[in-house]
Amino acid sequence: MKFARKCGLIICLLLMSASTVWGADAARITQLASKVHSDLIQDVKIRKVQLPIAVSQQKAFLLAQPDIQEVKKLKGNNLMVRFKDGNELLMLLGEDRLGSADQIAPVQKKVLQSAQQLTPAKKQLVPVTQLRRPLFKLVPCAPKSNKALIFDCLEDDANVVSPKIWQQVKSDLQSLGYSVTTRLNNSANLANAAQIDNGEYGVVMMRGHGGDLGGDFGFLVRPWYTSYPPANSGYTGTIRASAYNHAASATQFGYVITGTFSSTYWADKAFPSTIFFLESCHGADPGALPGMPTWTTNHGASVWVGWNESVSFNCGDNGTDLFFQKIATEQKTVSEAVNAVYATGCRPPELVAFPNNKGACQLAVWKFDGNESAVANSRDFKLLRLVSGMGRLYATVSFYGAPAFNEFFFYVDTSGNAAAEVLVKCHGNNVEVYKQTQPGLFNNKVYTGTATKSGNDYSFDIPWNTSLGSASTAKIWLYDMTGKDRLPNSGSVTLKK
Amino acid sequence: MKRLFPIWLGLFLFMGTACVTESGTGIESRSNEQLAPEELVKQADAKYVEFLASNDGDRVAATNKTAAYLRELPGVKEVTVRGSDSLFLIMDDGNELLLMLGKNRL
Repeated sequence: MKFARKCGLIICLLLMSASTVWGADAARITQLASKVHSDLIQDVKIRKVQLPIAVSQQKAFLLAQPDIQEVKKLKGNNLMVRFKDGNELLMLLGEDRLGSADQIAPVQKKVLQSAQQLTPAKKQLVPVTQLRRPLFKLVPCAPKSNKALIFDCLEDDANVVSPKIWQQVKSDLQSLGYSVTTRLNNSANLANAAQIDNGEYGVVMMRGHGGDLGGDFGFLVRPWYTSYPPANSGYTGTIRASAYNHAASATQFGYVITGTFSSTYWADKAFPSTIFFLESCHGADPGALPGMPTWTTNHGASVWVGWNESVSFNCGDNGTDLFFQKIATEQKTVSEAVNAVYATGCRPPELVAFPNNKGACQLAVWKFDGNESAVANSRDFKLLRLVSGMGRLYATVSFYGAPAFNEFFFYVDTSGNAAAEVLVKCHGNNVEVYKQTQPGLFNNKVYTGTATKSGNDYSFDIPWNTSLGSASTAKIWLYDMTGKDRLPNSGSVTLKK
Repeated sequence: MKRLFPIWLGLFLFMGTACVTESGTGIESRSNEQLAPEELVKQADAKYVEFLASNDGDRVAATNKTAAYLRELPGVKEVTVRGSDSLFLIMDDGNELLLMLGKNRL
């Protein structure tokens, strides 16, 4: 309560100051600022939405306002709002610590005005020394879940590649350790579409007819209807559409899901840095924004990939095939995979990534290990997640219980001879990287870094070049001398630089 | 029988004229009644194919011409072109339909 009162007082003072300066405009800006603040508090404190996501949602809300020209998300979950009349407002919505959902620093709003109006607002500036900013640790953009969904509304329709594209994508994702759920044909329906957020998928591949609704994207789900269906589909945010059904050799009807559908039903769980891939027309058409792509990327998804206009089955299936070969089999980034599709010349339209600054996103490599009854859960390996990026190797080891161990080994074969050249000794709070000095002896310590534990997860990262030299591929396995557990039980997990 | 001949002749000519009018795509007939969505879709499909052929496969031109055609149909309130081969149609009764034209597009 005390916090809320303080917060309210600060906002009142700031808004009063703003009102004095702006006159007529101030009422509208005051209204917007108050709404953003109260909605943010509501989202974070009551709905338990993570602060960055809540701030992104407020950004989307502000962008939708007709009198706002631009909203930029700044470091520390702050928003810079630029109005069409030239006024600017800096909304400091930062938190006390990274990822904190239960403690928001008092919300402060700063007013930036033209130079001649700057003096009154200057009084409101908070000295830099008083601002507590969280330390951000940059991590590569990659899904945080090894679950994947293939939602193919046209499995029984036209298919250009063989085996069918959903089978190839499934195989590609499984090769990286993804557990793939498929929803095909009539299973790719409204009910299952509404549950996409609940599946906590790291990758969502959707294949079907898509349409530009003018500022919104529509994706046609199953089933088909032979006649014009009723307006009420039973779900919010659906529109009736018609398209050619090759299986029936006739144009038939169905419901498209829209941005309103996604914002209504994909609000339960934040997407775990999900990569969305739309094999459909207009999947990432600028004319169909903000719609579904904006909602999902503001709701935790890392990137939304799709075609920017109407795409044929031929370019769609072949482009999808190549994209997943690149991003999965070859462990390329989204940008590299998109560029490979571009290079085929099967365009226009072009495959594009939204937002366009997320091209560095990639798929993480996963390896699952079963629960071994002879091994204590606290040191029984369950899942290994590997990502290479920004010159480092990132590893997260999940256990069947909260990790409790003195040491386990993270072996790396950098030469492809099935023997390790590098050993990472993993301790409770740190890791030490040793290079091999003689066969089987690791005495040359080259790096020491910190390790963190969170729940059942144990994470660390090491510099690639210092630890692994010029190797372009690392073959990795884990071994616990005490528990005698190995992940994988034989062989290794391949991570490309 | 002789007296019935003019009637038979008239009937024959009437049917012949009707057949000629309904030939081709079979969609030239228009009345003032609002067409059912199923019929609108059928006409849109047929016209799109026709315009595609007459415009050397230019989907944008075919879509625009199909939109123009649909705007003239009774009961069609508004037709908006959405991209190169989609139309958004609003009928007089308020019903809406996104028409995704063509067979080779996703």
